[in-house]
Amino acid sequence: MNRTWRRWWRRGRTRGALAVLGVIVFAALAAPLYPRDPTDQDLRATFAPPGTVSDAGAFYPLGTDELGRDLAARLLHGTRASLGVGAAALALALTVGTLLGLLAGYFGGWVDAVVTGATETLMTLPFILLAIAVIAAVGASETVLILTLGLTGWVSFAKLVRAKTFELREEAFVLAAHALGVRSPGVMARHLLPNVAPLLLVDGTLQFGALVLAEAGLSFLGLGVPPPTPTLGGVLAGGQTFLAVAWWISTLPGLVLLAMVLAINLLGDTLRDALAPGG
Amino acid sequence: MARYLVRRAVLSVVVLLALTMLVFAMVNLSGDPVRLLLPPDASPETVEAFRDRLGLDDPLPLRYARFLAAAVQADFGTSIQLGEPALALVAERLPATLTLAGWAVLVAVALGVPLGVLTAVRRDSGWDTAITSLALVGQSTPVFWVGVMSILLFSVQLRWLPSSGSGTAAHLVLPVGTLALFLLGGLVRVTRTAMLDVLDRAYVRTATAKGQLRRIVVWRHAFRNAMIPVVTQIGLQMRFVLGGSVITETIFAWPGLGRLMVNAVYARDYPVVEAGVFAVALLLIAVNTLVDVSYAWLNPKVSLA
Repeated sequence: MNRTWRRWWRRGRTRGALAVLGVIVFAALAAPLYPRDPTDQDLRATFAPPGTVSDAGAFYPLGTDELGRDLAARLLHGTRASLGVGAAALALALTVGTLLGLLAGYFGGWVDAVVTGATETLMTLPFILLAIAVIAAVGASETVLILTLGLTGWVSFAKLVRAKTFELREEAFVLAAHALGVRSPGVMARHLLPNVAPLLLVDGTLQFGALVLAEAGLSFLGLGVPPPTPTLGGVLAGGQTFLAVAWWISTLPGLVLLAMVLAINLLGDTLRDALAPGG
Repeated sequence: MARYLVRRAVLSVVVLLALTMLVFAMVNLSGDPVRLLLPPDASPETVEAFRDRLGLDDPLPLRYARFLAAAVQADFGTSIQLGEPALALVAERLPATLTLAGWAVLVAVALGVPLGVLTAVRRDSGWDTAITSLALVGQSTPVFWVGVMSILLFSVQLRWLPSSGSGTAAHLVLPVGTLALFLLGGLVRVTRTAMLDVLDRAYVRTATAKGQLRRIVVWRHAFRNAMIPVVTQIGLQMRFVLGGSVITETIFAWPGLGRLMVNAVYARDYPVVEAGVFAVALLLIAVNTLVDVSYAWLNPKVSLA
């Protein structure tokens, strides 16, 4: 394991992806330290291009929107919201998916039938339609968004864990644990879970990118975290109307999203190369 | 084959039942459509009469049973918002979405599969590195950003193409391009992996060893066998095609099913939402069955028992 990690760490891609992610996470965490609030309006400096210094002496590094709000502040806080929602949804999806996958793979029978049925059903509908139905039904909020993303995002984890558990449960070390009197929860937690963990790390990283994109997509449709909280998708959608006069409002949040998701996917790729070759 | 199709049909019915139940419960346990449809100062009697007419006061299981009985006769009720049969509205919008999705899949396959083959055949060359990296960037790019940026470039700056609407071939270019780009990255990567796997097999090396032309080795011996995972991927992506078309239709004001459904959800127009979900699910089940059947055709060793 140690050698695997060392080789992983030596790759240029790994370090590049981690560096980009590090900068983005740091910016998200430090967002409240930025001197301007993302909702502050400066109506004398609307549609200021990036790098503008207003007559009043205010500096807007990434320009302003139609209400003179500082785009840099909005992107910093939007990144914070994206990462926060993505991470919470990932935690929920990982928990639910791992638990259901373990149960289905370990016990088989009707438990397996129910879990498989649920995954098949969820996989039949485009995620976004389900999300739209849920969010329209109960209203948009950060909690609803996390629950929706988390409770629809567990499918791939459940399938992965189920398949691996199915494969492992007849292995000698699992049978030996049974023979020694270890109970089912103990077997699952101490003997099966550690063997699935590397796969979960790889798939979890890739799913994180997908969840961040899904959150941004819902925000773009106006179904994400509601205003005044800025979101990357929301800022991007707001700028579409003003494309002809202010290209930066829609362009920059997309670039931030691209950098973030690309770094996450690149990291997932390097992890897959290291931990699950061929997978 | 017959047994497979029967099992598939049973499974599809179960999935459809579960889906309709889920969506029915969700839309009905939420807000009250009457509040949205009547003016805020409507008298309680009017509200009551309206609820009664729509049958909204009956218990939920009874309403679901009634819905299901009608649904099997292809009757999803009347759109609360537009007063037309819900299924007719869905059917009317379906061709626009299918046009968009069909062209996008076609463009993505026509570009993605040859590019994937090229990267595998020229493994570790400059081409491989460039195309594989671009594919990863493509997979990481938000589909709506691509859409908005293409409007900025081709409609606002160059004024070559319309930014929204439908009707002419020019209206198709940007939405189809956006949706196709969204699919392209994944397709290139899957094709590459599948081809690399096959190119390493003994029968491919044998064909090369006996002096067969490289072109024939690649396309006749390797490519045909690599198509199975690629077709699986296309089948799996259909879900994302329809999901992505919701966003694409919103950006470009494309009059398809996705936009109809988003608007229906905003307006709590239950019948239209239910008919739409039903239609999309049926469509996806049909596509997935087709993908499974095509396995048997691509690989005679696979039997659909």
